[in-house]
Amino acid sequence: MSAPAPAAPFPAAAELDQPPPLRPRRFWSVRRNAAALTGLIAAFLAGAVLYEEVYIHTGHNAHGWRTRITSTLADHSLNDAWVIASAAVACALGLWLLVLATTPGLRTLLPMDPAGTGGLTAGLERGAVAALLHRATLEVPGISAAKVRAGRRRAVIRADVHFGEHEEARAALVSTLSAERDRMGLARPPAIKVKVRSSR
Amino acid sequence: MSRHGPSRTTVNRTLLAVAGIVLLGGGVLALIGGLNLDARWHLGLPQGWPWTDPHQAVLTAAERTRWRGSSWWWPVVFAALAVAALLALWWLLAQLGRGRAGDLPVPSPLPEDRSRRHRSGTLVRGKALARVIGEDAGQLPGVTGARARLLGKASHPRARLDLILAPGAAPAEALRELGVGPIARARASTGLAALPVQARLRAEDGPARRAE
Repeated sequence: MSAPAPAAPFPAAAELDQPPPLRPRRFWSVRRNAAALTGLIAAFLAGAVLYEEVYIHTGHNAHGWRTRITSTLADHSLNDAWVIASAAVACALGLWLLVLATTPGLRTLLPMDPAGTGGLTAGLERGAVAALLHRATLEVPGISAAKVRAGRRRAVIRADVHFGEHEEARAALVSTLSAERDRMGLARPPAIKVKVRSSR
Repeated sequence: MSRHGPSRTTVNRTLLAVAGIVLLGGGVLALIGGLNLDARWHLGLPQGWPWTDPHQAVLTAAERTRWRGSSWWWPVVFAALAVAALLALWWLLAQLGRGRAGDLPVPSPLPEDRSRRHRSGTLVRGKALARVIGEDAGQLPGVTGARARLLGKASHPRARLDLILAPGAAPAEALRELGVGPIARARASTGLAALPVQARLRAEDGPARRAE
């Protein structure tokens, strides 16, 4: 079913020709949107409470929204369905923010091997990987259509064979697509997995 | 990174983690109280735990105004709220900057100047340099579009390149050509020998055709 996993030529080669083997790492997102949204909400909440405290402290009567919030907090017990639901939502949001903070993100960008580029950091979009594999698939004789899913670790190609033996078509696809994958210069070339079926 | 403060990524991720811990902690506290988990699971929570009884109110008026008589209460409340609001505002505004490097000082070509860390007094416009790099990269075989930006500070610029590959062009080869061509030329012509470059390659949109 699947081609032999990429025969790791890259780490060995990189270690041989460069004194410090530059292991390309994942791209880490800045998390700009999440930061901006969280900052906006936090600034709004802190600003509103600060404003209201100052307002009351300078001898004014509390605004309606403040009295509504404080009476809501005082009237609802902890086992109230709304309180429990809100607490669960807060837990989920908190977990999500922690996941955002600790994971690299930018999953569509696959690191490329910087060897021979003069010290570039480069990434290839998964869409480009899929497009190249799709194109190469359609160049194999007997293949009429194909669907390609390019993942981080493996690429799955579903090809429709409209003439010829399935086994032969698959062998041809595996060798063609492995060669195509090796032209991409990815730091961790994905394994090629080919599935064939009749096109009728 | 350490030479010029923590990066925006580090700041963003640290503050996101803090916000996540606050939300998660508050949610877990409320759930422990609301679902009576202390009694059910025999957690053995310490004395003075805020929410233990499922029938207790979230925040009564008595609890809310408990410390009002103390002399430290209002200064602490105002200071904490002001710090939180300003920090959040600063964090928000820090996301709005596009992070362009602006105009870059070009190192002096004379070795004796360079050893004394003299500035040559010559600036190159960041936008102009970026446009030149982008146009140069767009001429590469197999590349149909290229856009370059110079990010970071003028003293520590870094280049970002977005390349669009022609259908079927080999990414590895395009990257090698980019490194020995446009990037090497840009580094040599500006004297920014260590200019860090990040390139992102994607494919031209469009349907793949059955090869006849």
